[in-house]
Amino acid sequence: MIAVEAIGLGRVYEAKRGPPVRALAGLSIRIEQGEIHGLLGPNGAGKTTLLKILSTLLLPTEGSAQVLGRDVTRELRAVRSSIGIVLGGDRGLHSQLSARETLHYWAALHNVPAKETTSRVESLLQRVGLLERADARVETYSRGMKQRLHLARGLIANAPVLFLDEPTIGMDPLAALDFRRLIAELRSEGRTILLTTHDMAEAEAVCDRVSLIDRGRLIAVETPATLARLLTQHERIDFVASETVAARVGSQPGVSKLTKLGTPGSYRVEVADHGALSAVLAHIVGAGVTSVRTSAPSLEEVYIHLIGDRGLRV
Amino acid sequence: MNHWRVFRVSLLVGVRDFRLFWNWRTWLFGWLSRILTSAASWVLVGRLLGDTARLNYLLVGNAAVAGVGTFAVAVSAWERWDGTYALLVVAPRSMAPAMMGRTAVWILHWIGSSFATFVFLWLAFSWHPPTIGLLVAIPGVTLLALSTYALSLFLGACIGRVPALRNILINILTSAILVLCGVSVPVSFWPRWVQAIAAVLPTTHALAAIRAGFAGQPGWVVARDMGLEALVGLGWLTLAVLTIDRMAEAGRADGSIHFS
Repeated sequence: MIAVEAIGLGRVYEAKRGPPVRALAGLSIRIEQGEIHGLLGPNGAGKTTLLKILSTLLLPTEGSAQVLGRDVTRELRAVRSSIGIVLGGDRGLHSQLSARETLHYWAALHNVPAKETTSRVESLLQRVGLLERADARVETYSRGMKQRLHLARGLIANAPVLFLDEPTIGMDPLAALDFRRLIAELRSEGRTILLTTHDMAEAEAVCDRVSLIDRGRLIAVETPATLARLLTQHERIDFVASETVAARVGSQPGVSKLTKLGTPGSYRVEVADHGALSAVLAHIVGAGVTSVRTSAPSLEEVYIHLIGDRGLRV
Repeated sequence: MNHWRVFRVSLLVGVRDFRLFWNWRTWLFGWLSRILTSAASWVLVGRLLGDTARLNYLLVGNAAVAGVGTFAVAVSAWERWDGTYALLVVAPRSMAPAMMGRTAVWILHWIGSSFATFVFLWLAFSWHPPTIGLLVAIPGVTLLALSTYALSLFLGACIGRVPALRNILINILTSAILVLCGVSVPVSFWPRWVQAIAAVLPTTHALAAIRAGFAGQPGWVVARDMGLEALVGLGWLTLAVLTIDRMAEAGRADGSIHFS
């Protein structure tokens, strides 16, 4: 069954000065129930705009979207009752309340029956590991604790669909790992999760599928395995050598591109096939080069490769 | 029933907001002493004029509105600063009880300040008001605070989309109430069109009722003015409740609401 579906979704913002800004451009996406789906893209790609429309915070200017079969522009109450939202960062919480008070507050706003509220709040506090600090004010919490509270708040209505906006932004690696474990638990409960992130590694770790978005358009929908392949497909080797050696390295099988870097004598080769990496490395070392470094492409570079390979075709 | 529950939990947020500003010491020695000084200054002006009627006019007017403020305008914008406004918009319930709950604590602050001012002026200026006047002042000040709160809430909802204007609006509203609504200057002093504006502003009718009580006027005069104040307050409250959700809808359309 489809949990979230958007068809030709678009959003144009009227700018006070200058031309209108198109944040989403005819984006279509379909997410199955129980799926954890990542939205990956650079700043301004349209990830948060999509999340805003799906969560009824923003009206689309074109297209349509449904959550569990309910239209996000017309059936507001039904959609709002079936979703939970988890924000990233320090904001979105009343810092003068405690975690326990925060959850009671949002339980009331989400129509959680009064009789069930206390037990649900306690169980969530336990689940996200905040029970011991439940009565301390949120302003005294670390970033990781606030993020766990965000998650508990998003879960208070027991919603079957969760939207997570940059949920691990600013978290230290251990807290992010903890958070991913919680997401995995939610997956086992059959919840549908749509999360936005900048972080490819995070998307790989928790998502069933990932949508790559750029400039309001869907570039590709991939599984994490494909994503991992994309990451290794364009691995780079930076080295310092003479022009002759660099030219020889550039002509090796598997090398897709040779670029001269800013520093004199510095070159970069991109290896289009992970299997060829060791052979190219061996060739470089065999030529007596001692300054060698390999690295994976950044998210933006993967985008460029994707767009270059496929144009804007989905 | 659930509206009341939302109001109640939101009231706790308001109480915590209030505590960020005041504890009992700072409230007593900071806020209240300033309010009392201001009210006393006006009454001293009345005494210097050497006219008991004017003295009483200034005393009642300034004591009744001593605590009344328009802070709810500013508080309404705080959900945006906290980054919780978007979450309120996408919650299944109407936002109005939550906004009202968070801001309502300031009503008690205003009422407490006004009563304290009455007591202070009574003791400090050997003022001996008729008992019936004091009995009318209690519901009068309460009503005045409630109706002023309703207008503040309405303006707070409107200003949510341009929060940068909130301080200007607070000052305009406070000045309008102090100048036009019969606090120190009788409403009848103003041209008719200004009187018409004063008639739909909170404070005007409640203050008239309180003055009628102190002057020993018939009960129906007091009741009429109280009724008018209640109508004005209900009108602003209705507008406020409608506007809170309407502004959220407008924000959904123009994209001015953000997750954080």
